[in-house]
Amino acid sequence: MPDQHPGYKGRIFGRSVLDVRFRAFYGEDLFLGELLVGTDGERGRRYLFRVTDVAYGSESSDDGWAERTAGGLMAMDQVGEPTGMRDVERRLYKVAKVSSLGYLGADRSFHKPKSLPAQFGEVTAPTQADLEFLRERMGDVEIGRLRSGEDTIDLPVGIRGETLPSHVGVFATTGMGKSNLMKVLAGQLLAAHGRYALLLFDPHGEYLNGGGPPRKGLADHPLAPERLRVYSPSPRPGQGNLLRLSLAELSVDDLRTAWKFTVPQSEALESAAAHLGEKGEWLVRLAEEEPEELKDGSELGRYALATIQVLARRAKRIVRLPLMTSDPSQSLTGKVLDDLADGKVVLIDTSGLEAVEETLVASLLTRSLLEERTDAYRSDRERFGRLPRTLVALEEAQRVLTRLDDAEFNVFPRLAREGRKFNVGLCAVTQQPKLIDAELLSQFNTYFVLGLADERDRSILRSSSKQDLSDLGPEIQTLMPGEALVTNPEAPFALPSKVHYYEDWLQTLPEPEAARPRPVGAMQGFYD
Amino acid sequence: MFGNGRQREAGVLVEDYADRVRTAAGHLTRLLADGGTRVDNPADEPVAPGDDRPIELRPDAEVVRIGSDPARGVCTAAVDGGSACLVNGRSFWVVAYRAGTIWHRDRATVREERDQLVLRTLNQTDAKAEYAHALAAAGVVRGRELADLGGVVDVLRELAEWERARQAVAEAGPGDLVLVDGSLHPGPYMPAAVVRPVHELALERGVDLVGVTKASKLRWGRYAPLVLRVRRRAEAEVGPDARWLLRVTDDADAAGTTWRSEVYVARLARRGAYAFRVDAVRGHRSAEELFAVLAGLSDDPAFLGYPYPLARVHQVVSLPGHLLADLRRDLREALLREGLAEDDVDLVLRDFHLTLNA
Repeated sequence: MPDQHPGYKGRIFGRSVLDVRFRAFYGEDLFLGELLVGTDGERGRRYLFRVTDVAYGSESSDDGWAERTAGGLMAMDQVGEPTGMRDVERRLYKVAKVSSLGYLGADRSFHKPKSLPAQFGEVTAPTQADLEFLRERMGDVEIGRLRSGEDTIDLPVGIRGETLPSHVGVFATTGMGKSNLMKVLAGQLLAAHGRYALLLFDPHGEYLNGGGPPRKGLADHPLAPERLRVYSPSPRPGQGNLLRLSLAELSVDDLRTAWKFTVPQSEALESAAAHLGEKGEWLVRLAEEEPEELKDGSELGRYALATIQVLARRAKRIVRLPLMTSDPSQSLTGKVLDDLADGKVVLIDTSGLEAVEETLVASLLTRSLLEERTDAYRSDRERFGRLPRTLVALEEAQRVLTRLDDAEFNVFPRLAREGRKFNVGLCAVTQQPKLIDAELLSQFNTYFVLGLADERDRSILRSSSKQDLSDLGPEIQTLMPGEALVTNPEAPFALPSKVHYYEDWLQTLPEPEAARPRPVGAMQGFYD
Repeated sequence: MFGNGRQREAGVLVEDYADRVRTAAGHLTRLLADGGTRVDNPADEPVAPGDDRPIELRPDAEVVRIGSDPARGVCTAAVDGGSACLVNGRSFWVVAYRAGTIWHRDRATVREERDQLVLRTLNQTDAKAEYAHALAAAGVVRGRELADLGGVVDVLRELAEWERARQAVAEAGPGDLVLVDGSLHPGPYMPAAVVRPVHELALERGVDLVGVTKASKLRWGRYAPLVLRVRRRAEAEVGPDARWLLRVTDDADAAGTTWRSEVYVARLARRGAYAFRVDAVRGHRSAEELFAVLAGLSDDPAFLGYPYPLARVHQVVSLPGHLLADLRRDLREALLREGLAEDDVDLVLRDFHLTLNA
């Protein structure tokens, strides 16, 4: 490759405002997602480009040339003769397809791409100054660094915590870095000094301790003692509170969120809740009384025995859960809500629960949170104003976000639709966004898109994202673990990023200031 | 003559069409199987100096396997020309041509030179004068007149190529190679007086001067293509995956003369699709050594079996379609600026064959 100035990539030769092509030297290693700059000296503009595809080019005008040349190489391979192209840089080149993200005017202000860069303009790697405008658009919840192809640029990428109630989607195939991203996100909220709160359900037991050495978890965060609260049905000594929820707090809607009920079953459930006793007694009766007796001796008589038997089985499962208590005074829901109101990160360890039980717990707590915030909004705006913006993070979110119509009883679609008003956002973590209702997806303002193998998953994100991802299918497909695209109305374009590796990122955090020792005699008189 | 498509088809599909095709194929097959020993010397592609008498190719002429030598540090110059007739008015011609040289060393082209494009408008008289002038510039007196003045551009281009070859030999050092596209031999309009000094200069400087003819007209016996016949024999003797050479001329052909250009047929890559006529005025290398170096230059996968420097120089000097289109457009505009009516310009530039074939 001829010597050029550092960062030189090639020259623009075509094609249109949103589909720019440039020629690069054959030896130029171009990557999907790489950020580049096209210089328009005629107008003093610098166009910011993103590489969306790279193709071969050759000086030969013969369409079959490359195919024949490959055949020539193979023929030589067959007879064991080493060979190779001569004058490679003269004969071969690359053609990069780039999408124009916008341009920086002479005053360094950023504009959307509405004009054509100068033809044959030089294409270079961006300078620090080219990307400086992004810095002010990055929020206070930093998740990583800007990425250009496979390089990392020293520019933080994040979202504004203020936008958390506008909902966050985390989409990735297994192994692409969802859990790491969630730990970084939770870690940032831990460090937010109470400005934001997070209700995080942990079905795999990996967030608290990282799943075991050498991985680290939120418990290793320097601010964990101060700002992390852990609730678990079976907490380890010194690592959390025993999670207790009251049967009285469970609603018919929670059950309908956790299980699928037929219409008759649903009606029978409503009848049971209305007629078999208040404050959870109806669940206890459903669980403990014989279905035949319930049919003969109660309002459930008009339902088929089989229907009542289904309700009874499910009620038994709930009542026998160790974390459920019939004594409302033992419930920790209120404590969880207090922690969230105090701007804490609340981790609910559901790793010992089965999927429906986990959904039941998540539904109960999320519904309670939403109701509390709704009440505050309606009755005490001053208090509401003091409450931190809160995010509810749920794994395998596709289980509860399949249909928008479920919002009638399912708190999660309702949260997606109404939560913004009450400063509560939903963070849906899933590897199958295609299973989430498209209209629900459109409620999510922030996407963290990590590697997704299934085209249908990529397709639905492209169609629902707040930023144009139409050209980024190949890039999403080829994202490596820890690489992400961040879309957010605040960002000027889908931001390629390298998510902090949680364990490394922890090392960079400052130790919290040690508590000051009490002055001698400060407690004097208190315990007399 | 033909009123519609069906009648035209009927005109082509004569009753004995299949027989005619079979007869043609049979004739060609018999030609290729000809067992003669005489290599005919077409008038425009001589293999021996001075005249066009045929030479004898002994049946036992040896097919010699050759190796491949990367010849590190050896400089190879390659010379070629490109030409086109922009306007053929039958009584006048507008022609364009140029020649060039590239220098190649250690698998990379290190220098490219290309003459400025020469554009000439010639009528019958001009063409003859131009030919005489070009020969005079090479220090040669015209011996015979051009028969086909329309082909004058080819002769002018060849003269430019020989001048380029002379310069390259003069610049090359001992052990370097100068490759020329085509024969090293004089032709009907290429006097030996142009060619011979270049051969002598190469011998004097210890430079290997080599000409590679892509499409040789040399024929074996009764019009069997020589290269094809030799290739068939070589494959039978040394196998299909071998590099080889066969010397067509022998020293007796040049006995009593200072002529040192030898004619070979050679296959320069083990999987090359083609064999070529190769002429060589050898400097210090033996034939096997020289052809090993040529084989080393013929391993580019895009042009397997053909010396890459010649392929490169061809691309440097050829007149591609877009360039010719530009030239024709410029010519049209210039004619209009000269005051020629548009209809007249169309008549000058249009080839009625194109209208017929459209």
